[in-house]
Amino acid sequence: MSARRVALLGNPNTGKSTLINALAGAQLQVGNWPGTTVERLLAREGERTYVDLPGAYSLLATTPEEKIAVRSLLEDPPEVLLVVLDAGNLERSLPLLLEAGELGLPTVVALNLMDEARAKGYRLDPGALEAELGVPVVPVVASRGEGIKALKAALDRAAVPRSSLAYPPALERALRAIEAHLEGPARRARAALLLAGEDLPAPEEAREAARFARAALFELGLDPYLELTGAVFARARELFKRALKGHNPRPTLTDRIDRLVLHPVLGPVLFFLGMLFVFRFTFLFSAPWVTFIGRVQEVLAGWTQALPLPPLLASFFTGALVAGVGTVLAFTPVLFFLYLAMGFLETSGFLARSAFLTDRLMHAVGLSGRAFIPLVLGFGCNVPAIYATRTLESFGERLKTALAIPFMACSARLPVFALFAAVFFPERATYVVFGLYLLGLFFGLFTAWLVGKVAQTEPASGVMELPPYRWPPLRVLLAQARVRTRDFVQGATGPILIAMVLIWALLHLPPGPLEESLYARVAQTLSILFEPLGFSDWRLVGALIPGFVAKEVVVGALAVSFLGAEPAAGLGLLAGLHDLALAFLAALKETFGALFALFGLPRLGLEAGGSAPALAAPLSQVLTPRGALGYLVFVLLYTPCVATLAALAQELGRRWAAFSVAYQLTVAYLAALLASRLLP
Amino acid sequence: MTRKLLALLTRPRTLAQLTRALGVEEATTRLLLERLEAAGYIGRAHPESETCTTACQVCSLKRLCPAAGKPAATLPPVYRLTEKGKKALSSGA
Repeated sequence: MSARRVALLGNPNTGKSTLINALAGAQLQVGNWPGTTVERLLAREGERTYVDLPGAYSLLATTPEEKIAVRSLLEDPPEVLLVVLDAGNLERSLPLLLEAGELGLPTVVALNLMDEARAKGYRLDPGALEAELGVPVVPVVASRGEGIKALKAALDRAAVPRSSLAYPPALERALRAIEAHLEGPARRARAALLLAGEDLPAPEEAREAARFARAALFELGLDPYLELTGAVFARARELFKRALKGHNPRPTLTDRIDRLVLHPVLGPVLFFLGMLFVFRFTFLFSAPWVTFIGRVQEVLAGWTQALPLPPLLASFFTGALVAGVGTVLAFTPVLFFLYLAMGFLETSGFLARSAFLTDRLMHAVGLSGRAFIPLVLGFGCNVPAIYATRTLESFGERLKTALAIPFMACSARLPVFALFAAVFFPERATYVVFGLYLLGLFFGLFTAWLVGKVAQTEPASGVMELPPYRWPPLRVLLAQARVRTRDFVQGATGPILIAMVLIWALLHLPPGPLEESLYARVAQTLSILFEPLGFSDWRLVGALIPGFVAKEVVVGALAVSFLGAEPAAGLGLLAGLHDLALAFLAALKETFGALFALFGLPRLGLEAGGSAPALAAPLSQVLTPRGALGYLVFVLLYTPCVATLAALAQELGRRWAAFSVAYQLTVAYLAALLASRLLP
Repeated sequence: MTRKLLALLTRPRTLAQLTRALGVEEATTRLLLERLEAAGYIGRAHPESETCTTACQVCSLKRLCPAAGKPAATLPPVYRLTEKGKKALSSGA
C-alpha cells in the first residue's frame, strides 16, 4: 500500500525543499507551522502528501525549528519518514538519522547532494549503509532530478531501522524503566529524550522514573546527555566508515604549512627565528631614515641659529622643538618598519599561531595560550592590550595577564632602545633590542606565574579556530603601517610637545647654567639612587621622570637636556638644502643595501653609528655600555605610563594599579642592578 | 566521543587538532561542539560584540579592524569548558 503521509527530516541546507519540489512537482503549499513563524512546506502528489519538517541537527532540540520538528514527529507521526542526508557531509548528517531511527517509524533515506560528495572526493556506497540500517537508501541529486524515480519507489519499501546504538548497560536499564511508563508510538525515543533531560508531554510516572534514573546515573558518574550523544556520534562514525569507499582530499596549503609551524619542536624554533627576522628587518631598513631625520634636525637647528632671533627664543626652537620633539620623531621610521613587519605576521595568520606555539610555556606559568594574544598586542601599545584581556574567561586569568602586559616593551619604549643600542652596542644592536623584548616577556610571564601562585588561579582551557594563511597585499600592509605610525605620532605629539616645553622651561629656571636649574636639582637629588645601576648623570635620571607620563618623551627629554645646551652653528638655506639632498640620497642607497643585508648572515648587526643621531656623542661621554644596559633594563621594566595605569585601574581596580606601580619599580630597579653587573 | 572532546578542551587546541584527535570529519567536530555548547557543557570564551565595541573605543587600530564598531565582531569562536562541563568531566566513570 502506498504511503499517504511522508515527512521529510534533515539538517538545514541538505536540499529538502528542492527534493520535495522534485518529488511533487509544482504542487507546493507554503504556510507556517501552527503558532509560529517557521515556514511550513506541504506538497501533494495524488494521494500522497509530503511535509517538509524544519531543519534539525538533533531531536534533543535546542532551536525553535528543532522543537517544531520533534513535536510534529511525536504528536503527529507520519506514515513514512524520509530522512534527507547530505552526502557531502555524511558523517555530520548521520546523528539525526540515528536519533530518528529510535522513533520506530518506517523510514527511507535519501542520500542527496551526491554530486557535491563526488566533487569533494568522496566515493560512497549507499548499499553498505542500507545493509547496516535495514532501510532503503537512495542516492539522489534533487536539483537535477537524479534518483527521484527510485526514491519514490523506495517509499513503498520503507522499513523500521534496526536499532544499533550501543549504550552502557546502566543506561539501557534506565531507558527500559522509563519506557515501561510510556504508551503509544516512539516509546524508546521519548524515553531517551526524557532521560537526557528534555521536557516532553509524558505521564507523571514516566517523568518521575526519568528523574530517578538520571539521579542514579549521575551517582554512577554517567551523564545521560553525554552518554546518549556520545553513543550516537560513535555509531555515526562507524556507519560513515562503512559507507566510505574512498576519499582522497588534498590537504590545503594551510594544513601543510601548519604541520611545520605548529610542530611541537620545529614550530617554536620557526617562531623565534621569525621574530628575530622581524627585528632585523626593522632595524636594517629604518636605520638609514633615522640618520636622515637626524640630519634634518641638524639642518633645521642650523637654519634657526641663522635667523635674527633673541637668544632665548632661538634656544627654545633648537632646544625644545628641534632637539626634543625632533629626536622622538626621528624614530618614527623604526616604528613604521616594525608595524610593517608585525602587520605581515598578523594579516598572514602567523601571529594567531603564536598562541599555540607558546601554549606549553604559557601553561607552565598558569596562563592559557589565548592569553598570549593580549601579551603580543602589548608590544604595540599596553593600553588596548589591557582592554583585550576582557576576552579571557576568568578574573584570575585577566588579572595575571593584565599585570604581565606592562612588562611588554611597547612601541613607545622602542626609541630609547634603538638610540642606546645604536650608540653603545652598534655591532649587536638587533640582538640587544630583541633581548630586551624577550626580557620583558620573561618578566611578564614571571609576574603571571607569581600572581597565579599567590592568588591560586587556574589556567583556562579551550579550542580556537585559526584563520587560513593568506599572503597580505603589500598595499594593505603599507597602508596599515602608515596609519599606525600616524596614530602614534598624532597621539604622542601633544604630550611630547607639552613635556618638552615644560622640561625646557624647568631647565632654564632660574636663568643661568643648566646644571643649576630646577630640573637639574631634582634630577641630581634622585641620581644618588641610580648610582648602583651604573648611571647617575642628572640628565639621564631626569629623563625618567616624564617617562612616568608617557614613555615616548624619554628620548626627547634626553635630547633637550643634552643638546639644548649646545648652540648649533648657523647654516645657510642653500647649504642646508644641499646637505638634505645628499642625506636623502644616502638613505635611499642604504635602504637598497638593506635588502641584501637582510639575508646576509655575516652582517647581523647595524652598521656602527648607522642610526646614532646627534645624541650619540654626549651620551658616550657620560655613560659606559654597562650603565647603558642598566638604563635600558630600567626603562623596559619601570612603572607603566599614565594611560596604562588608567586602563589597569579600570579593569582591575585602583589597588591592583597601585600594586603594579610599586611592583614594577622594584622589579625594574633590581633587574637593572643585575644587568649593570653583567658587563665589565 | 563526547567525554573525549571535553577532555581535549582542557587545553587550547585548534579545530583541526581536535578533529584529528577525535578521528572524525571537521564538520562533525563543529556539530559536536555546537551540541555541547547548546547543552551548556562548553561556552564561548567571550561575547565578542561586547568585548570589541568596548575595547574599540581605546584601540588605535580601530580604523583598520574589520570588526570595529560592529555589533558582532567577526572573531572566530573560542570555546571553553563551563562549570557543568568541568563537573561532567571530573565525575566521569
